[in-house]
Amino acid sequence: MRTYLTRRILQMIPLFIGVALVTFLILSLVGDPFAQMLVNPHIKPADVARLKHQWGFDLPIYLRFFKWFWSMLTGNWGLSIFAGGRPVIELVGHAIGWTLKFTIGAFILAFVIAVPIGIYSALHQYTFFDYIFTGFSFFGMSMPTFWFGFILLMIFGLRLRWLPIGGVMTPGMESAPFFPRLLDQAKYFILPVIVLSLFEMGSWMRYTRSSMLEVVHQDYLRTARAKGLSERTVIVKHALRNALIPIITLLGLALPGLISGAMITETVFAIPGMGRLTLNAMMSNDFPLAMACLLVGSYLLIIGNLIADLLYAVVDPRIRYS
Amino acid sequence: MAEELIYKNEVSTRVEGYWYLVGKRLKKHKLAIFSIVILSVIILLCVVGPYFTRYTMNEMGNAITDVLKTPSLKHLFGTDELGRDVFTRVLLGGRISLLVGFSSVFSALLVGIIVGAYAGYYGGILDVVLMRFTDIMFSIPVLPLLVVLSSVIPGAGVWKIVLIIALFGWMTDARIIRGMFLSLRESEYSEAAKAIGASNTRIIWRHLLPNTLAPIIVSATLGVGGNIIYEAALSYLGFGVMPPTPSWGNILQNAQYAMAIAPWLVWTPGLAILITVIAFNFLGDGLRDAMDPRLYR
Repeated sequence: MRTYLTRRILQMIPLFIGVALVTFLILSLVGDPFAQMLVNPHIKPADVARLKHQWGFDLPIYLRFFKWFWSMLTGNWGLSIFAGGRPVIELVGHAIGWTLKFTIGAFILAFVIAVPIGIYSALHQYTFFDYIFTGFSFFGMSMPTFWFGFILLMIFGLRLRWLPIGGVMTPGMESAPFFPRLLDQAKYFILPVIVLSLFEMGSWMRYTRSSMLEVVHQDYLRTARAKGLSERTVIVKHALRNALIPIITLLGLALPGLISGAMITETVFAIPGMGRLTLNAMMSNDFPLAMACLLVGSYLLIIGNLIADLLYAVVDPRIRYS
Repeated sequence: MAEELIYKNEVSTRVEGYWYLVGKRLKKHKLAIFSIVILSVIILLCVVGPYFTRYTMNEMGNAITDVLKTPSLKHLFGTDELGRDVFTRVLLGGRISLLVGFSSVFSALLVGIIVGAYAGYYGGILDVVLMRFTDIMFSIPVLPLLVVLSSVIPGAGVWKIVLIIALFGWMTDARIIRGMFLSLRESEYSEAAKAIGASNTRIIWRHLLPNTLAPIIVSATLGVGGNIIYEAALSYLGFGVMPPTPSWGNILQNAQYAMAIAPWLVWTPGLAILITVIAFNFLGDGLRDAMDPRLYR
């Protein structure tokens, strides 16, 4: 296990650098921020050259990359342009908290609902409920996130007025005691979590069903039944353990979708998370902030994949020893 | 006489080739057939429909009497805040959304095939480099990246959106095709082709690639639906197809602000996306079942 762990972590390092390089290259497509100044007759070329030198723009691109990457590693992320010059690291820190909170909520909700239903569908293949759940999973996989958000907002927020129509807490609740504040926030999180989890719910349901179906027809299950084990033991101990292995890979693969979905959900429900921060940064041409956001998003993804891989190795001993 | 009979018999028996069997199995998949019908209707409506509607794309009605009308016979899907006919705009938006869906899948496939085929066929250092690059691209969250690219790349056309969706949609195809090529290049017929002196390019494109067609078709079918959603999401966020050109995404973005007073503006474009994408997903699923080599006997 330890060798597997070290190998996996070592493999991540080039990935980290590669992602940073791609991000840097994409944002350097923006071009030279000083080009506009050169056109302005009121600014002397010498001043532009001085500014360029000061900001490190006279360096060749690979040196600029290393400089930027080093400052990202050391936490010196610079100041944002659009949020009144607040430190980028502080903005990202705030935003990431909100994103993680409701993304993890959606992840758990999707898993808790999708896996049991998937198992049920597989065990009762071609029954009425199997068709209903299959229909639901296709519905979930095909639903445009933001439209689903609109509809829920329209029904529960505007028509029925049961739930708030966006934001993260009622104004004035910031200083409330812990439990009332938690309840208040929960009310705001119900709709976003449902919206974000719908896609994963649909696809996990479908995968659990098919991976369970594959296992159910295998010989060792017949052996288990033949030896007189109860149906419950056969399903839970023998079938489920093997059926869950491919699903764990799927959890890792779901992360990019969740991060993309979170961006839309945050916009629909006005949650001040990473997705909204990236959007706002791009709308106000705040490239340092956008770069940091993109990088943090990618690193979350790589780490999430690592966790999924390690879980995979925990449940499937074949991975550890090969 | 007997010989002739046997001969005739052979001729009249249809040769049950792979694609014939696939078609036969697909016909049994009722949802997939139903999806084909639905998709044909939608595509036909979007392509031909706008020629027959009474309104044009940006024609605005009377500022007092035609603004934000509920659906009626005159305006099937109602009118928006500028008095434009939503039905016409949804049809025209469908053209753009479908165009983006199809052409981005096609271009992404092209990149995916080239990367996957060459990495899988040649192996070695080329494989390592290309696959590590694929890993890197996989590790960047797609939608934030598309937003960034859309604002970094100048221009505002539909083709820009196609380009950026394709630029970041090829990785799955590349992995699938590489995987297949790894095993296909060891096959006897690939060796035979090499023995008679076929060039590597010819072996890749003429001998090996046709054998990867089944998963490519499935992934392309599912991809069209997925890319329609990407386009809609990008347009909704304001980084996709720019108004006044309608697409399903930016019609919805517009509708968002009138949600409280004009819910019909939200329903129709969204339903159009949902129905189209569901149909592509069902069709892809049906094709996957029909082409499954484990069932091919």
